[in-house]
Amino acid sequence: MKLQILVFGIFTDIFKANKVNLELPKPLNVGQLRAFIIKNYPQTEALNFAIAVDEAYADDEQIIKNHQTIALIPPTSGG
Amino acid sequence: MNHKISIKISDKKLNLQSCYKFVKDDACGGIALFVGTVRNESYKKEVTALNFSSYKPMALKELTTIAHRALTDFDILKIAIHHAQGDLKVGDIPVIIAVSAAHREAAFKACQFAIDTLKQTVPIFKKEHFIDGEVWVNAHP
Repeated sequence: MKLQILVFGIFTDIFKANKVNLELPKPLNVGQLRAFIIKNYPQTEALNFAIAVDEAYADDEQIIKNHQTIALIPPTSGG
Repeated sequence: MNHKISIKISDKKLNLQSCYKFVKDDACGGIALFVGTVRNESYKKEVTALNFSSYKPMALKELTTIAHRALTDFDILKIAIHHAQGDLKVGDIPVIIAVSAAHREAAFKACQFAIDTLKQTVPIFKKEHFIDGEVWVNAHP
């Protein structure tokens, strides 16, 4: 499954982009995506990041489907 | 409920008066305002510039959720939450929260709830620039 993932905050420095394209096995849940990212980009492990599916925070058990909007959300710092 | 909520993420300077006007109501006995301002020091170093970016569609949803929860959980009349993005300098206003209520206690509590929750959940990201470098705020535990 080809996924285009939106990235924000410190991730834009790590990936040097606002989006990243990944080829991932299917079926895939959010926890597996997190593990894949940490394995392939070890500098992300310490970041304690969240993953959003279709603009909402997702649990690790949530299954990712084709055409959903996936985003990596580092710790927030608004306000 | 939409006439009770004003949510905005703006590339332009925030307008305190428009937030105040939005929440002002003949039934309210008071208005609580929280105005965030960019301070000149962080990590004991002088801040030279600062940038806010957001995952805007999701941030607007999360801000709306906060406003609805504030209206449900506290006895308030109206709430405005406006956040700036882009480049800001010392003294600029990154966030305004305005809450009107019949009585002050609910207004204060809802205002505190809104800013505390915003900081925890809304996907907005601050990068601080110093003379000798830059840092994504809160990025590392």
